[in-house]
Amino acid sequence: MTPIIAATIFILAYIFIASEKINKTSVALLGASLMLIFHIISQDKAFEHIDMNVIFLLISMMVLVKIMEKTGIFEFIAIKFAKMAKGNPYKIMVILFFLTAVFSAFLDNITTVLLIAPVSILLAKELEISPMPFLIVQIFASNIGGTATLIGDPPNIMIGSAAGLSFLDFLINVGPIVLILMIIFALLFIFIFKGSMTVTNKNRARIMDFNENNMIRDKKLLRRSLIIFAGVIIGFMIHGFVDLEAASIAISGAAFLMIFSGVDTEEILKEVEWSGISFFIGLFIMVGALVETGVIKLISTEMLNFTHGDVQFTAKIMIWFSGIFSAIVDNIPFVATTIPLVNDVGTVAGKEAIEPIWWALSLGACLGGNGTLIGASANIIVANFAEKSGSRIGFLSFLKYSIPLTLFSLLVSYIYLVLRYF
Amino acid sequence: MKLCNLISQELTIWDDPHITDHDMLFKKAADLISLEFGLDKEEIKEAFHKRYELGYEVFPGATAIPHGRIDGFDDLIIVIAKTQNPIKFGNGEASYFFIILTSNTGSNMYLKSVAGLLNIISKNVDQFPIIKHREEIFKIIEISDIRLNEQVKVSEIMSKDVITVTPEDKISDVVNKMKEYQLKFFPVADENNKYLGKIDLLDILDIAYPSYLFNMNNLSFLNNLKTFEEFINKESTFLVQDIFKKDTKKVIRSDSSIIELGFILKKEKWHHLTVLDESKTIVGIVSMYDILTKIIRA
Repeated sequence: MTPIIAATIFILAYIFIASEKINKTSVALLGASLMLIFHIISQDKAFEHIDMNVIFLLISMMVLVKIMEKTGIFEFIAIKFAKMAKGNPYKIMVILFFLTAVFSAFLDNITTVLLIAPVSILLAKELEISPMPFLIVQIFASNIGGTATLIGDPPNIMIGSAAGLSFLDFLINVGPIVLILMIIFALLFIFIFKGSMTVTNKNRARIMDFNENNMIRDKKLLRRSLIIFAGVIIGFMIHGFVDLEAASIAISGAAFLMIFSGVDTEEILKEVEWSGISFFIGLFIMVGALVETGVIKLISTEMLNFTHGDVQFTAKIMIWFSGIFSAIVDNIPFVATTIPLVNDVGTVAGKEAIEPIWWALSLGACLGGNGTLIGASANIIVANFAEKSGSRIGFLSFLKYSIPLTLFSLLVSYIYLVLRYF
Repeated sequence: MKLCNLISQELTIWDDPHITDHDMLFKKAADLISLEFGLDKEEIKEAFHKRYELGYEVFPGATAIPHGRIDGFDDLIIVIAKTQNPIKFGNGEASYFFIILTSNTGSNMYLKSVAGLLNIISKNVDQFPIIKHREEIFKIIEISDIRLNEQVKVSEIMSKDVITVTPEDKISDVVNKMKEYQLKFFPVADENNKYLGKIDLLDILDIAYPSYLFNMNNLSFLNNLKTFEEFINKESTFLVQDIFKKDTKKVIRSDSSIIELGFILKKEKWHHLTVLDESKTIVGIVSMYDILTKIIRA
């Protein structure tokens, strides 16, 4: 009986989260508490299922980025590059695309677009062109770039933690295909938006008039932030070798930066997105209940029957399935549920052998975020910015770009996966 | 503060057969006050006498309100006295006395007390001759519910000649009005002068500074800003309804106290509120500046 109740609660919660009618964090926490109240999972067990590595990695990265943000460095870089492009809108578009992708790989997607989207709109307004191309390329860049690293996108954080994959593992295995995709997409976007942006010489001169050096108000804060952030990235690179979890590195970085930046710790901690963190906690408990009641086991057995434990076959299906599924609904709950399934497969096939399945899940879930305007939180944020700037990105008009481009990116990734691992 | 809370049974002299003139009355009253508050009875008596020299008027119902003032005394004490028979007092004869002891400086509360007592006397003239027990007079004072330091109401300090705009007004006209009247805030009203919201200079600046800009750390790298430059051209194309903030919070009822007004302004960091009557009709605007000029530096 309990597996049925657990599955029912989970599915109902999932439907409510997908419908976006009620705040998803509230739904996840309510689902989790129902699992506890109906004795489907004991509190001790439930808390064990909360992946603290993920939780603390998220919190610490948020702290680090929130402090870095205050230096103005990200906007500085964007303006600097726009000036290097001499106000040429196509060059600016490509630069914004790459910057967003690179920032997304090392910050989180949401922060990246929150930083870059306002600058893009400003640039577009000064150039007297529609900000639409700049904003659309950013959506794709954030999801593609985020795929590249362990910390780039929440699905990767969860996968890395659950599968014991390091920062470097992600960079080596997913990094190359992300780089390929970035180059292809940059070329595609030049082709797509060709002829749509014309700019007067006078307006180009306006961009050249920007004095980006004024943006850096606190040089000392910037120096210290950059040193500590560089230390964190180096820490991530070697965390697999020195036997430290990624969260340990991130917590240390956050603690160092809080002390040496001189910012108000209370204020910074208030800026952490506790709603997002709570969403993860709720999900982990709900998925934990599915694991404990054997629901996951049941599904994974079915899955193994279907795939006959064939890793190659599973990975091939995984990339398409997770890609399409993540386009339609939030990829975070999907990945949270899929992780224990893949782990079960791993107990049969061996931990090493199933690595390609993890990469397939990562690529599918992250790139799938491009599929629709609601495929990833960053997309929604960019859409909101577009609306604020007076140029609405419609759900359907976005599909016109997103469906072919997402399927294309999944196809390229699929080919990469096959060529590299099988 | 209620007048009835300033009097007490302990400070009452009722049908004392020894009191046959004002001299004895003041002595008894001074004794009582001295006993209750530990003050010098001679000084009190002296104060009552000093004032008596200047003459007193007896009010209807054979009542009188004598008082005395002493130095270095920050209080107000009221003794209620009734003599068995009317005694000669000032320009007539009285048998009910409200004897007030107050300070040399604090006249405000004294005057309000006298006004309150006169109010009670005038409303209960026919009651006084038939009062038998001291409880009855306490009852009368309690029922009349006189308040001494009644707070100033918002309606007393607000600006009544309020200028409103309607949702259909052009922003350019609103800006002109702001310049003309040297104001940066107007309530937005419907055709019946009912409150819809407010528009201030900062709201209008939304046109020049679109919201996406506020996600940026600073704009110090800019010398020019397109949206700012376009502001002048756009001014007349925007209507109040396009940008004004619909609101139900930045208001205060005209009968609210200025204590509440100050609290709201301080707590919400607002500078002005629109004043509404009970039917939500706009009757004025009020600001922190009104509190400053009409209360603190009145």
